[in-house]
Amino acid sequence: MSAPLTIVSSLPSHVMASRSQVSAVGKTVVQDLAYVTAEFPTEWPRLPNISSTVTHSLARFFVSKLPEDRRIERVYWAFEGAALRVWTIINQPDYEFEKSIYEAQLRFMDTFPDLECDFSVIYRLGRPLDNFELEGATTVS
Amino acid sequence: MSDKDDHLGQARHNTQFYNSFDRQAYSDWAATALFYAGLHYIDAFLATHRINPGSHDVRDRYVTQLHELRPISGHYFALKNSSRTARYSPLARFQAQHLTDLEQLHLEQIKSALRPHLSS
Repeated sequence: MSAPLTIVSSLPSHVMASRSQVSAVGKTVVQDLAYVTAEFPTEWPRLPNISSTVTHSLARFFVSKLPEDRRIERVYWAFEGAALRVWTIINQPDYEFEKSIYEAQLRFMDTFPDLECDFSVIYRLGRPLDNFELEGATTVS
Repeated sequence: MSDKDDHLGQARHNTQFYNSFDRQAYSDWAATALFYAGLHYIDAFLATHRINPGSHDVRDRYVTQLHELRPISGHYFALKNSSRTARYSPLARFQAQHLTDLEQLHLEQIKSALRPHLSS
């Protein structure tokens, strides 16, 4: 018989309280997004201001958790169906540095537990940065 | 649904594949083989709880949320990102040291952390 699974929630209570408030807002945004995209599937792409503002805000929230470091060369986001996709471009693999990006991912996913999201770190490996422009994706400024 | 032993068998199969070819010439496929070895160790653990994640997004959620997996999430993401870089951006080639890190640091950390849960 396997041991019961435990969801991690080891943050201090005041942080948990603050996080739950943010999470509640995020959950509402996600639920609203799901409702709008489900009820108005054809109109949704014609609402660029709403869709792009909300998703851009989510992406900016993730970027705000990243370290200010020039090794992060670009961050792209795109909303595909119900999923937020985020690509962070760095030049070379460097696990010690990447830990800070993974920590940002964890904090984002903790804050928005109901949001379907997919984070990638893509290594440029010396190739031109322009090669990594993604069709349909937006750069986080 | 595949059980724990099926996933462990696939993880070992992928590791054998990794060891079967010129890894420096095909470092992109080497990274991908290692990622899919790691993925099946994760899925073997999830299978012990009758969870079949079915997609990368869902698996990532379990990796970040479950007490047993969260400490090794960075190692899993390092494998995943090397594989994704190799598969979706042309001419991605990794240094030998990076492949060594993927195998001996990241995959090994996943295996050793999950070994107590997969040994029975």
